[in-house]
Parts: sequence; structure tokens; C-alpha cells
Amino acid sequence: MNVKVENICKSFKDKKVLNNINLQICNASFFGIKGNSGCGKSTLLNIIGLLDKPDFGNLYFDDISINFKKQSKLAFYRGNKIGFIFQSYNLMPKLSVHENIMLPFLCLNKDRFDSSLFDKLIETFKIKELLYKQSDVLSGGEKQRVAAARALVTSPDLIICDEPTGNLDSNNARYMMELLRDICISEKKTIIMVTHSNEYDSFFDNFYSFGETI
Amino acid sequence: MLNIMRNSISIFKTHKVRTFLTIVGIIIATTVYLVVNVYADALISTLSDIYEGFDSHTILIRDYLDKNALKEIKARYEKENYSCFNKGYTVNIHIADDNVNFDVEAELTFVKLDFHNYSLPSIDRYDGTERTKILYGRAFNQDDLKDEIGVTIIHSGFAKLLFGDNNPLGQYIKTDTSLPVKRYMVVGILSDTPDVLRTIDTYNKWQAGLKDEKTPFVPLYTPVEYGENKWESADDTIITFRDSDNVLGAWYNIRRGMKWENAYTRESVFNEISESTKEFAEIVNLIVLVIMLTTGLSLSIILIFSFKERLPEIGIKKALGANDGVILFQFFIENIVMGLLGALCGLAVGLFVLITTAPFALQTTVVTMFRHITWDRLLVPILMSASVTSAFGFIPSLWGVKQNIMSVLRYE
Repeated sequence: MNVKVENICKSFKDKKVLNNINLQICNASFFGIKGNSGCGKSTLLNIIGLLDKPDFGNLYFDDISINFKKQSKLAFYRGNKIGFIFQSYNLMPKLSVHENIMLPFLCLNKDRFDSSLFDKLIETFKIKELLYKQSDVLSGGEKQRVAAARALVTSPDLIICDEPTGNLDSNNARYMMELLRDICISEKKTIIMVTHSNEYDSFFDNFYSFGETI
Repeated sequence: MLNIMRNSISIFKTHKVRTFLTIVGIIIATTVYLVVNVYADALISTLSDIYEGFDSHTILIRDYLDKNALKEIKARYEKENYSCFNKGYTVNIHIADDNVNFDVEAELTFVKLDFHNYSLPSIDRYDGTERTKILYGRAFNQDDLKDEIGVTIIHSGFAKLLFGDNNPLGQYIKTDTSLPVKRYMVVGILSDTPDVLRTIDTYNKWQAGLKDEKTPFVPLYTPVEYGENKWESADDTIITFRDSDNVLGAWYNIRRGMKWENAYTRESVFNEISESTKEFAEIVNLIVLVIMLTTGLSLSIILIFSFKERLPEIGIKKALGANDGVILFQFFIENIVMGLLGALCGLAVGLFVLITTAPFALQTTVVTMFRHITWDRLLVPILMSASVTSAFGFIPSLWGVKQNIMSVLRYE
């Protein structure tokens, strides 16, 4: 999915967080958004992920302008076109791993479950043994892998990652980055990831850094 | 849908206290509703059964003016399973003002027959009604109604007077009154009651030429079936709680068309009792409604607090593509499932209460009780519970889903 961000502005009370941000993210690319804490990178990611709306500016998915006033359309995109991987995992603690991964289908209230994709994901993220464990007993790395599987189970075109390595140790973090990189290449998915670290620059095809563009 | 229901049950694990409190409220309301209404139905139905067998000749005397009599009635009523509550054969009580000669084999002339007694509505329950038992012989049956020769059951002491040491069974008694059948074959012998013993004593005094203020009276029981319109061939039957002159007085007065304030017809008694029962059921149903509404309000309050805890869950679901309608629907299903669980548990508790208490309840058995557990008695609490939980859960659900997605995702 091609993503175009055009003159996006966003303020919280008197503080202007995003000021005329312009981005062009190509299909099947691994795109990074970098910056220090509080610079607005998560706000930008939330706007791209349709979790938040901009004060001004436009957002295009495959050259289609997104109307932020149409809640049902936004919910459709979130459910069908976008997958989210959050820094704090956002798993339902009392549900099992299996139930958490299946949660998007419950939210969409329709069945387009692809069992082969599901099997592939649990193989890829090595969570087969964890499937029927309650998610609040998992380690941070395991939770993040489950969250990633949940983000991908609907086969979205765009994957939004908000510091997915933020709560992981270096080994797990690198493993997660490699997985995302592989998915981007093999599945031709567009991945946009927010990070405050320069450690993973080599994984990105391109990135936007608050203050400079490479 | 199945997934949503499964998810709802999973969610209950997360909110055990809320679920428990709500379900307990519903269980109490459902149990009370079922038990009270089934008992009310059973009582009304029992009364219907009783009065169904009566016709316009039947009256019920309830003279509660005499406190001692009332005590006696109550004692008897509690001790014995009052037989007028049982359908079956009833017994005519023959009342005669004139001398009646009983012709028994050797043309034994008997004394003046001027008796009044409370009736025995069900021959099968002789022992329960008069504290007497059929010592030998048999009770009445259907064939007795068809036979040209009438049959009778008499007390043992009376049999001894008439037949001496001979076996009274198969012997004949004739009367010269206008009884429907003048010749009766003895088919059963009852044990004596105090009244019968007094009668024999009086009779012996009369035979010895000693005057006695009392007139000996002897009950002569003959069969008639309820609801067969055979009353025209029998004397009027009086169903009463006590055997006293009041009964006869009531009977005379009613026959003369006079008003007897303590005499009730089938309709008046049935209406009075069924109205009282209905009023009682209505009051209890009102209490059930209050319990339900209280449960609903509690659920609403609990849900508002629990929704604050559930805001991240709402945020996650929204982020995963759920729109407001889907989330509302899930909460709706969750509340319905909770209501249904409560109602089913309540019905189970209610049925348990009914089964365990039915044998101790008046004129009720487990079998007869189950006749009154109708589909509507089961469906109403289920629908009511589901409605209450879904209606009272709606506003908190709506409040939850209208929250901003980012604020609910960040909610701690």
C-alpha cells in the first residue's frame, strides 16, 4: 500500500506537535519514523494508523484520500487494511494467545479467517506452544510476537509498529526486526515503524527523522 | 455469534465480582418468581379441581364465629388431609325428619333416623376424613352407580346393632323413606367414631325405655359420583368443616331461599380464594420486579465502573477495526448471556425449591406441582432477565464506546 502524508498538522492545546509533515511511503517498503521522545513521531503514526485525526492536512492510501469524519470507513481501514503492533502489546490479559490472535475477526464480526495464514504465523513467530496460555503469563518477547501475529492475521496491506522493540531485550528486539523485515520482503507489506533508536537503521528502506530526512 | 458468546464468557473471568453480583440478583428474582407463581397456580388449580366436582346443590359452610369450633377445624384440617379436596366418589347423607324403619332380614325395626353429619366426599379417603378406616369390605366403585340395587357402607357399631355377630357384608338394609334406592347392600364396614358410639348408647337407652334428650342418628353412606348430574336422585350434599346444627340450619335456610352469611356457594368460595391467591401472586411479582430493577440499576452502576477498567479493551477493539456498533453488540450479547445464565441458574434453584417443598405443601405433590411449571412460567423470567441486563447495560456500553480511541488506549 502506498501511503502519502500531505501537510499534516496536529496540536495538543497550545503545543504544535506536527507542523506540515509531508511523506511519501512506497508499497512494500519498511519505513522508519525516528525522533526523540515527545517529538510527535507516535502522533504521526497514530494519524497514519487512523487512530487519531489531524487538525489539517491529508492522508492518502493508494492515492485515495482518507476522510477522517467517516468513522465507519476509518474502522473498515483499521480492520481490513491496517495491522497494529503496539509498544505495550495491547493484548487482552485474560484471554488466551489463540483468542488474542483471533480478536480481529471478532471485532470485524465476520469470518474471513485463513487457517493456512494462521498456521504460518504461529510457525513464523514461534508461538505454537503458547497458543492456549493466558497472555498475561507470557514474557515481553512472547507478548510482542503474539501482538505481531495478531496484527498480521487479517493479512493487512499496511503494518503500523509503534516502538515494537521498546520493551524487548536486544536479542528479542533484533529477532523482531528481522521478522518484520522478512515479512515486508516476502509478503510485500508496507511497514511503518516508530523508533527512537538508531540501532535498526539498517533494516529500513527509508525513514523520516524529526528534524532531518534521509 | 458463537465466537462473540464464547468471548463474552471469557470476559466474565476478568470481571468476576460484577458477574457474580448481577447473576445472584437475577437468581433471587427468578427463583422467587417461579416458586411463588407455580404455587399460586397449583393452589388455584387445586381449588378448581375441588369445585369442578360440585354442582349447584353443594354449599360450603364456614362458620368461624365459634372460636373453639375454629380451633377444632384447624386442628382437624392440619391433621387430616381434608378429603373434600379429592375428586372421586362422594357420599350422600340422607336427612329425614320422619321415622325411618330399617328392614334388615328379620325385619328389625330401627329407631327414628334424624341425623346430620358432614359428608365424606371421597370414599377413598374415609380414614382421612372421619378418622375412621374401612375395617373390612370395600370402598365404592363405578359399578355401584350402575347397579339397580344400591350399596352402602356403615359403621361397625351400627352393623352390630343390625346384624349382631353375623357378617354384615352382603346383608341388605331397607328403608321406608323417599331415599333414591330403598334397598342397600352392605359392602364395607367403617370403624366407629365417637358419634356412632354415642348413637349406640342412645339407642340402647331407647330400647331399654329410658328417655334421652338426643335422638339417635346413624349415617348411611351411599355413593354418588361428582359431576354426573345424579344429584336429582340424591339429597342435597353439604360440604362443611364442622358437624353441628349450623350445617342443618344453613341447609334449611338456603333451601328456603334465605341468606346465610356463613354459607358459600362453589363460585363464591372459589372466586374469593383465587382472587386472594392472585393478589398475593401480584404482590410477590411486584417484589420480583423491584428485585429485578434493583439488580438492573446495580448492574448499571457496576458497569459504569467496570467500563472504566474496560476502556483499554474498547481501545484495542477499535484499533483492530471494530466500529461502535460491533462493540455495542458484543456488550449487548455479553449482558444477555449474563442475564440468561442468571435466569437458568435461578430456574434451577427454583425447581429445586419446588421439588423439595412440594411434598410438604398443602394438597401438592411433586407430580402435581410439575403440572404447573408451564413454558410461560419458564420463559417469562428468562426474557425478563435478559431484558433487564441488556437494557441496564446499554447506557454504560454506549458511554464506553463513545470514548476517544486514543484516550481509551492510553487509559491506565
